[in-house]
Amino acid sequence: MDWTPAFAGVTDLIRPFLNEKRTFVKSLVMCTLWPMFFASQEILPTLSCLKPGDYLTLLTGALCVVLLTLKLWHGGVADTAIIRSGGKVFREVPLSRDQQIEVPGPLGISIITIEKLRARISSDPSPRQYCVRQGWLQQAGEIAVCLPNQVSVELTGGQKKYDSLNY
Amino acid sequence: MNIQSIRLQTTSEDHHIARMAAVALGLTVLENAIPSPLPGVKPGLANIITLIVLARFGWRAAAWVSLLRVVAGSLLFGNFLAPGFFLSLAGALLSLFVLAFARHLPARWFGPVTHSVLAAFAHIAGQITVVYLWLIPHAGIAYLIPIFATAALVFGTVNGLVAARFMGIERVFKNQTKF
Repeated sequence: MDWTPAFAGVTDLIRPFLNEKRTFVKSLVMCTLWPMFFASQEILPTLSCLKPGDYLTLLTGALCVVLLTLKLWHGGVADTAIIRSGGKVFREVPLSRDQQIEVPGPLGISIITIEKLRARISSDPSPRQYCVRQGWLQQAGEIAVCLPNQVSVELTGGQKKYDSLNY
Repeated sequence: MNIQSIRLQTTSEDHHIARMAAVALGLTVLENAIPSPLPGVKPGLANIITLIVLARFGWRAAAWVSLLRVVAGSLLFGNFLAPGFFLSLAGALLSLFVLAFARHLPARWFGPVTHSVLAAFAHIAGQITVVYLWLIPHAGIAYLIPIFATAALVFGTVNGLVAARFMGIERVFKNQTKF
C-alpha cells in the first residue's frame, strides 16, 4: 500500500520549517524559551503566594506525614511465634532459639521450623500445601494457616499489627 | 379565590452565597468525574471556593457555602443521608471548625495555603473518626492514614495555591517585598 499521499499533507505543512533554516532555529528557540516564559509567568507568581508561615505549615505537615507513615507502616519486629492447633494456643515460642516443633492436628503432624528470627511451616499433611508454600514469616502480624490440619503460626512483636484491611 | 405565592425575602448576601455554592457544586461534579485510586482520595476542588469565600466574606459565609455544597452535592449524587454524606459532612464540619481558628492567624505570615492544608488535615481527621466510630470500628484503618494524610498535604497545598492566585495575593505580596 502506498502511504505517500497520506503523509503528503504533513510534509507540506512542516517543509517550510525544515527548509528555511532561520524559521527552524526560531521555532527551536521558542520551544526552549516557552517553558521558561511559562515558569516566570505562572509558576513563580504562584510560588510567591506562599508566605513564610505557609512554608512553615508545609514543612510541619510533611514532617507529620513522614512520622505517621513511619509509625503506622513500620512492620513491627517479631519476637514470638504463637502456634495454634484446633483453635487453641498450642505453644508460644521465642524466635531467638532455632528449633523444630511438631504440632499434631486431625490429619497428622505439621512441622514448624524456627530459624534466624523467622518461622515457617516446613511440612504439613494438608492436600494443597498453601501454608507450606507461604514460606518464611518475618514481620509481626504475619500468619500462616493450615486449615485442613487446623494448625496456624502467628508472629507477634512489641506492637500489634493488622492482618487484614477492608474498606 | 386568589393564589398566594410564598416569597422569601433574600438579601444580596444570600444571592452571593448561593452563587458561590453553585460554583462549588460545579467543581464537586467535575471532580467526581476524575477517577481515584482509593475511595476517599479526592482533590476537594470545591474547597477552593470555601477558601476564597472565607478570605473575602468571612467564616459565616464560608460555612454556608461549604455546608450547602455538602447537602446539595449529596442530593445531586443521590447519597443524601448515606454513609458518604455523613463522611463529607464530618469532614466539612471539622475543617470549618479548624478554619474558624486558622483565619485568625496573622495574615502577614499565613495565607490561604496554610488555611487549605490545615482544613485538609482536619477534613481527613473528621472522616477517619466517623469511619472508625461508625463504619469500620477496627484499628486496621490506621493503616490507611498515611495515604490520606499525604493526599491531604498535596491537594491542600494545590488548592491553597489555586485559591491564592484567584485572590491575587501574589501581587500584594510582591509589592510588600518591593517596598
